[in-house]
Order: sequence, then structure tokens, then C-alpha cells
Amino acid sequence: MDDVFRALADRSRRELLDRLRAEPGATLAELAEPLDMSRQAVSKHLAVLEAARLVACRWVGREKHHYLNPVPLLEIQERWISKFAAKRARRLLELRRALEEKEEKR
Amino acid sequence: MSLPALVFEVEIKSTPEKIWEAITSPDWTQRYFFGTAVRSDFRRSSKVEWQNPDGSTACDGEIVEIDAPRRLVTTWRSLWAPELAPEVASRVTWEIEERADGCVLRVTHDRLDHSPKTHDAVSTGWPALIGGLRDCVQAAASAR
Repeated sequence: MDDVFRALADRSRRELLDRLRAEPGATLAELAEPLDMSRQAVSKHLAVLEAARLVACRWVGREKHHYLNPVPLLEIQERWISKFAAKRARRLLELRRALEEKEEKR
Repeated sequence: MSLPALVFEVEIKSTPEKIWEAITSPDWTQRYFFGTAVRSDFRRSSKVEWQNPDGSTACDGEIVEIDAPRRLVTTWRSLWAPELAPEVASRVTWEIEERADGCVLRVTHDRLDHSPKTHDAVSTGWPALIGGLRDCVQAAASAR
């Protein structure tokens, strides 16, 4: 679990996870293009995410495709948030979102 | 609409043979595969099904590729809910990779383009299932 938190502690790596959630199966080239990062830097970050099992890879021919692996994150949630608490926490988040939207409209 | 493949991974402190047994034996699957017992002779082109305790079939498929104890590819139909059952068969690949300190089990569920309801249902099902598989295998090893 240490390596999961270490991997998540970096903003660029969290951005990469966001990208993979939006574009499952993206290749290194596809990930590097719109980010303000060299291909080498992206590749290094991906290696850290892979080692933490937050990113799973699949080879199709010579292309390496990257996927967000949700299992470690779900296990962190399960460890500290019971199903009942998850429901309440989600309602609180929804309430905050609704209030913030109201605030913006003013 | 094109739907992406789903890929799930867990690390399991065990051997490929033990993990393979957990995937292919009904005694094991009943502990983590939502109570179902796997039924198959595990040969190429054979049918495979996961049977509920009441004898009905929760899901089934055909074995496309088998290479014990590393790789199993089957087609997949979700039969446990009436809205899922008519969807086109998709494909599930189980891969076991040996590492220095254990194994990585990877489940890839793809060819889901024409099975959006199955896509949504299994997105949350697989993490619980393979997490459960890992816990069973590791608990059995430490009980010895």
C-alpha cells in the first residue's frame, strides 16, 4: 500500500490517471502529446504507477496500451470506509457540490 | 459506440499452479465467485459455466484458448440478470505472471462494444471477485 500512496503523491501522476480514466488503453505517445511533459518523463511516471498496480498494461502487437486498474483504490476505500459510511460520505459530497454550484450562480 | 476493454490486476503471494487451481476448481470458485461453482473439462472449445447454488447458470462461455497454469481465454455471457442475458458474448482473458515475490493475476474483459450493460455490471464485479480470489488463496497458504 505504501507504493500506492507514493505514486498518488505526485500531481503529474494523478493527471496521468485522470487521462487514463478518460481514455482507457492510451499509448505512451498519446499520453505524452497533450501533456506538458517529455515522453521520457511520462514513461518514468507510468513505471511508478505500474509498480503500484494503479496502471495495468496490455500489449496489442507492438503497441502497449495503458489502463487504470481500480483494484488498489477500491481496497483503500474498503479498508477505511464501510459501505454505510460510503453512502453518507457521498451524500455529503453531493451536498457540497450543490451548495458550491449555487454559490457560483450568484 | 465503442467501449474500452476493462483490465484488472492483483498481486497474489502464491504460485501460478495454486492460482490456476483457484480459477478452475468449483470448491475454490464457490468461495469468491459470488457463490458459483465453475463447471468445465477445461479443454479448448469446451463450454465453461459458473453455476449458482440453485443449479441455474450465472454466466457461461466457451474456452477459446487454454495454457495451464498461465492463460485462459473464454467467451462470456452474463446470464444472472434478464437485461444482461440477451447481450452479445464478450471475451475474458485470465493471465498469471510469475514475479520474484509472487504472481500478478490480470483479468481483461474486452469485446464489449455491443454489450454495454454487461460492461457496466462487470466493471464493479471484477475488482471484488479477483480481490476475493487473492484473499482466499493467501489465507489458505497462511493457514498451513
